[in-house]
Amino acid sequence: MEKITIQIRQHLLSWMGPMFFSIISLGAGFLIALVLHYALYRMGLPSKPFIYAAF
Amino acid sequence: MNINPQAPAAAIFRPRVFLTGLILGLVACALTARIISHRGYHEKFTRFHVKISPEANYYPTLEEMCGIVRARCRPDQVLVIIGGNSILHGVGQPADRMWSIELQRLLGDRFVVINFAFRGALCTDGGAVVAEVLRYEYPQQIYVANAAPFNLPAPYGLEPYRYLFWSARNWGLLEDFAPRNELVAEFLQTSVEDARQVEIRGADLLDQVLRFRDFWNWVGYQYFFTIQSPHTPDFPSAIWARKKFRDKEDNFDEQPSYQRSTFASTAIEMGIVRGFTSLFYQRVDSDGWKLNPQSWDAFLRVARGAIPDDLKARTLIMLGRNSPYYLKNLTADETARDNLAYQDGAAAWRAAGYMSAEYGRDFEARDYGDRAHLTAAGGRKLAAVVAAKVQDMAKDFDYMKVSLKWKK
Repeated sequence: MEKITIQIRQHLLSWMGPMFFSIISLGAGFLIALVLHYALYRMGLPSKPFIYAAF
Repeated sequence: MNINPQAPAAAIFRPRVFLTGLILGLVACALTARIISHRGYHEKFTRFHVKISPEANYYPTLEEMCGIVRARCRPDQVLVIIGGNSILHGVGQPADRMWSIELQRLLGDRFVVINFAFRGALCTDGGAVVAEVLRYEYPQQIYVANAAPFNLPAPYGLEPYRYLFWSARNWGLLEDFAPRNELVAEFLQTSVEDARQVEIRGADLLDQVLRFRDFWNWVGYQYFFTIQSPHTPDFPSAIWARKKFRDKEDNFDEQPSYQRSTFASTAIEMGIVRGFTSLFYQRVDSDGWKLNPQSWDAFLRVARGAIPDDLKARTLIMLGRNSPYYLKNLTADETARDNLAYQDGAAAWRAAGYMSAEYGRDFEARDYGDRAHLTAAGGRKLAAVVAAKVQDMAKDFDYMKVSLKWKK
């Protein structure tokens, strides 16, 4: 029983390793996309706010 | 685990998966923005009040504004879009007593009135662009805006609202209208550097694909805002979702400015009131005024190119008079010139192909909160004038023949 458990654990770890790092890479890509998207939004805004003066 | 803790970063970092995440992220943002903005997310929209306007670094997008229309207007209703400046925006009128609410009440359920007027805008800004973009989706539409006699419209919009015109133009959503193209080309040649033109076009085309303006406006409106402004200078209100801010317009009725006008401000305002018409007229003899021919020609050329021909006839331009509090100080001669300018001004808009009328001739000083902006009482009078005109236009265009069978 103990041998089977160890085998399962080893199998899971060997499978989780590449999976885990893939998820991290995917998440990092997603995060950078979000930052890039936001940067594009901010770059398009005027540096000074519009001040309305009635005349 | 068969991953060596000492393995180089290349063994841990997966470039292809990272790139997939990057692309997926951009696609997810763009798709979310498209869907959300298209159907509209502004609940209980009244107008673009200060906290959701460029004054507070919130720049409503074209698709966001179209979404507001889609969320409110049924296909069987006549869409009435209000554009123009702070007067039609309803400065000095609380949200529940603003003139466009009264206009909606007078017109009834067959019409949907949406106020897209901005402070400091022209009749060709904001609402005008949205009306043109929605010309096929909402063919039963009337556009209402305001202007001063012989003040030139800007076919390419006015800062800070010009971005809406560029977006619509660069996305190919505007009509290909030769007289306007000519005016825009002149403007670009004389006023916008080549590098800036490339920058504007590039940003608009990138936004057309990635929808970053729509996405982050939605985030800012619904969840959290990321930009400080003079209207929200302090933390935490600077990052509050814009929807948390209610439309809290000042109420002129609580302190009308004609009761607090100082001599200095009255003198300044009188200079503006006289300048309203003196620039365009010359004396022909001892008892008459004549419009400068070049004023008429210059106006007509720009007005003809401001809005495409097929949309002009359903555009109502209201020429607003100044407050009688100031007008009473004009001499009889100046009053005669003023009256003539409003008459000629409306005729000029009509000659250019628009519908036009004036308001304010029979208004009282208490209908105004300052020289030009109306109190709630003045707003009700304006709404009555506009409602009558809009109903006439709707009849002329056979808008009223469509039955009310569509239910949301």
